[in-house]
Amino acid sequence: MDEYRLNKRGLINVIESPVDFISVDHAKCMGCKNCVIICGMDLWKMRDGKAMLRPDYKKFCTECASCYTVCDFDAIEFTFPPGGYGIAYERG
Amino acid sequence: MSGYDLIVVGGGPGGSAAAKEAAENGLKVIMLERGRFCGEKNSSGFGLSPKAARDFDYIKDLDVPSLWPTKFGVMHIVDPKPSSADRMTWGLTPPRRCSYPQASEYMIQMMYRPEFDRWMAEKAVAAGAKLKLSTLAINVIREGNNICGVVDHKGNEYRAPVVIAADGAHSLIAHKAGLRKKWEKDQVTVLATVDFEADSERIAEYCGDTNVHIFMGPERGGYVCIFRNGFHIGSRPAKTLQSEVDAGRNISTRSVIDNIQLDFVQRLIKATRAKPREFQLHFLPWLKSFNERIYTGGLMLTGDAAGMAEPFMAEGVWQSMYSSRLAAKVALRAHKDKDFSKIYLKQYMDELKASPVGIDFTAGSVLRDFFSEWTSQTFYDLFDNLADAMFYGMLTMAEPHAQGMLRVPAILVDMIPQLMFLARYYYPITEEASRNKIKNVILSIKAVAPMLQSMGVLTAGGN
Repeated sequence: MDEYRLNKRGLINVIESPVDFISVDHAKCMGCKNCVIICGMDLWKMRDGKAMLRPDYKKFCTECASCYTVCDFDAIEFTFPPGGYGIAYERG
Repeated sequence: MSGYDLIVVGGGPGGSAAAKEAAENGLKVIMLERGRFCGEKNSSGFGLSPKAARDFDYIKDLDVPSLWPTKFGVMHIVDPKPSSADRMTWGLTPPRRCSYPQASEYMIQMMYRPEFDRWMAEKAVAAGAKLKLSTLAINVIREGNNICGVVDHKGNEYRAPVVIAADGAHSLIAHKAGLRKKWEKDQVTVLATVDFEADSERIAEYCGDTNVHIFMGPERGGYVCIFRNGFHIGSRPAKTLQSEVDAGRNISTRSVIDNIQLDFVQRLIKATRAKPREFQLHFLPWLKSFNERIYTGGLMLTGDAAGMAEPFMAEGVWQSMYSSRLAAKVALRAHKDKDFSKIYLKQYMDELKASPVGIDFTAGSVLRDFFSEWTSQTFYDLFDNLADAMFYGMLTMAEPHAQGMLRVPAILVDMIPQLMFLARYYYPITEEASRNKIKNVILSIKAVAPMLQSMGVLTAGGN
């Protein structure tokens, strides 16, 4: 059977935050890739042994905070988008 | 700056249960919700357990469009990959032996969270609580050792002698108050869900009274929750972020895609002309033991913020409502006694630990491991053999019936390893649960022993 294709990014409604709410400190990042593994929206990738967040992550992040939780080196900071912004689940 | 008697952070079912309780008992309450409406930030494939109807009188009035009480649930034992077929399927109605009436009327009440959360928030507002939407509380205000308010993302300050933080698994208030930095990787899990839009008449025709399906199989599992006008397909449960990191891949997101391809799910999708509508990721605490770090001066954490989801299947909404209402009751007492200190608020933790929410953590560690085994090969083998005992043994139409019956004992012998495996979990769970009972029996024997001895019923050893 063909692999079922699910267009995850087309199936979320996000009101893009005007400010950043995730940041990564490259001095602390040791390249463990946990964030790359865990992100259900595939918003992280590795470059030169460091975790990089997609520049347009604010359009797709569902604010689950998994990346923050799995970071072994406390290199990722996560808050939430300001009130009224971010993921808008209509059928949660 | 504004003054309140109680600030509730988070407008989910927990926040609303707290705000309602406090407001109807005379406190000036404000509830802050970061979404544009209550329930905007939640995804869960949600069913409210009958415990909520038992403990909250107003739940009997629940009336939202997607509401569907589960009268019939189906369990599917799914073949190993790459098959997408069921090996064995069985359905059942709610149990007959129940300690309260609602538990035998339905298993759970399915509904969409935005509808339920808004209904709950309306109850809180009707009781007099003020609800402020689109407001993210980002920090706490301290006065000496106590938290005495919060600050929102615009810098507005809200002051009250006591704060209830019902702000979800990733609670900013818990962090800022110093109650925790972050969860451990094996204390949290993420479920992926896909909501499908479907024709409500076709759902009613195809599903009848059956609106919950659970899937189990070797290294696979998941669920379908069916609402009046759509359904959720959920990912494999029973894995923590630690196990995903160890496996090196995102199990929940992959498993939801696997689940959509299951034969049963494909039939449901086709019969109801369903189309994917929303993709969701649900981050939730899944602790093995009761979390005691849920209070400090002027602050109580409740629901997911406190890590109260139960250790077996991680049910969390009733736990959130229960813990939040209890926190509101303690806040009311604190106002009466004019004491908001950490020592005073410890009674919230003590009472919650002794309540059904806390008692559900009995044998939590074994329970969680046991639930994880539901997707093991051994669990599959158990049902695989059971299916043969029933359909190749007792009900065979392939060969003479008497010969089929004769096969049953041999199949049961094949099941010994799986029955031993079940006993390995069953024994510690029941031992843990009965430990307190046995302790009480021994204590009472000790208490009456001197009396029995004096009556000559018991004699001291050696005489």
